[in-house]
Amino acid sequence: MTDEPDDSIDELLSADLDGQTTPDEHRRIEADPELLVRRNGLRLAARTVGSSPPPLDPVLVDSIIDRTLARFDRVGVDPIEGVEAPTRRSATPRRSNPWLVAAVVMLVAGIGIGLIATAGPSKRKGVTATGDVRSRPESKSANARDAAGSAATTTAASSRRDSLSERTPTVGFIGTYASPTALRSALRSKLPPVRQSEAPEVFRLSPGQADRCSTVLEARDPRLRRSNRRAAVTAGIAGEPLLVLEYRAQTVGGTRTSTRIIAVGVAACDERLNFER
Amino acid sequence: MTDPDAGLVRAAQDGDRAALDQLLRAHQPGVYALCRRIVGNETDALDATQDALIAIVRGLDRFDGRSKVSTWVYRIATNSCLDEIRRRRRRPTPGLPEGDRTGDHQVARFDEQVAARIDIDSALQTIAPEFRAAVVLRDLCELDYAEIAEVLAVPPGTVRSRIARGRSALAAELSGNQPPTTRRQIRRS
Repeated sequence: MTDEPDDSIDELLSADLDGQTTPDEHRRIEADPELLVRRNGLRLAARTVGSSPPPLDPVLVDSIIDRTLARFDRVGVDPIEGVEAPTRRSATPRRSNPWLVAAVVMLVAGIGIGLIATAGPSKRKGVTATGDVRSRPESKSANARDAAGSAATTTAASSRRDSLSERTPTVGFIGTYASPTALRSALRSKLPPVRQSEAPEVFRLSPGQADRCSTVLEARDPRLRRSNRRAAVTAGIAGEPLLVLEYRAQTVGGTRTSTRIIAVGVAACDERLNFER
Repeated sequence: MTDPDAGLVRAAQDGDRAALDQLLRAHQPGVYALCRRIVGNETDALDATQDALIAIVRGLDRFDGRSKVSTWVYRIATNSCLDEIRRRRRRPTPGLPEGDRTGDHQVARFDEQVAARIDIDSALQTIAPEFRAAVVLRDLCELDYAEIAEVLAVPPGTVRSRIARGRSALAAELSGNQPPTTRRQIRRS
């Protein structure tokens, strides 16, 4: 074993696993039992990572592909969706026409002046009405607000990449309950009112997330059809988010309609409640 | 060598929906596997996969064929996964980590394969995302150093170093050894 730092030895051994060492380096490793043991540890780590996770259920795959293609089909695709695909810069940068740039600048300046002139009286009302120096702090705070607004504008691009739950409307939230029994009791007669504004972050599911579990459930039980789904909301039991789905159902014999309530864990879409009312 | 996906991409760029469907289906397993290993749980991996596929569709017109389609796809997917990790850091954690959520209803379904998978995931989660991504791209996706450098937009020397340090930390984690002090800097804070 050499006196080299751990990191440089591991880098050499790791590169050797990938066939990235010179013949001399490779021979040196093969001749040192301690290095061989260490390389085996790295090989084990590499093989562990290399084991593929289990493939997705084909129903889920279809659902993901369908949702993707649906966005492709949509006219005027939402420009803020998704992660930006990397692009290459053109080898020959495009030159802007200076006259066109000047025209755009003048147009923007004109619009800006027009807006200031329009908004001026109301914004300056405190100053013109009172002529008081107290207006200065207001002005400062207004500037601060403007700055905040400007900052919000500049950070808008990054916030666009926030989670689907932040980008899209979220599924309604009906509250948290102490136990499955308490939730079942609350759902016994009708769906509790949605309290969207009270929903903690963890209960804010995107419709896509709700659809995922819904698709899994509907694949398991063909009687559950999307067209029969009346509602999808979130609820919590002891802090864990659940998706509650309400389906229109028919009693055996089809003599009368009823409602089937199914609550599933959001992570694994596993059933927690399933009853008819 | 001819890129096997080049024809599909050209057709999809020309508006062939079936070609796009085929392209997405061809790459979905790789994208999901990459995301599953990088983000560490199924729910977030599905979100990252969906985001990545949407980004592929949206970026299709800008793909100029200078890199392999698979490299381009992995680059989008890796960015999507790293974004998902950043978003997750801003979200409160719902109760126990997924690996610990073993209620009565789940215990019966546990088998050795699941336990092993959780070990891999939890071990991977102990190393920083940029090292994790490099290791996963090499050992799971089997990209070479140059391709990983392109995906991660870093020099090949950095790739070699990240892979080595990621594997080293992972080896220590899997063997139950405390990593040496020199490696702590690559572990998650």
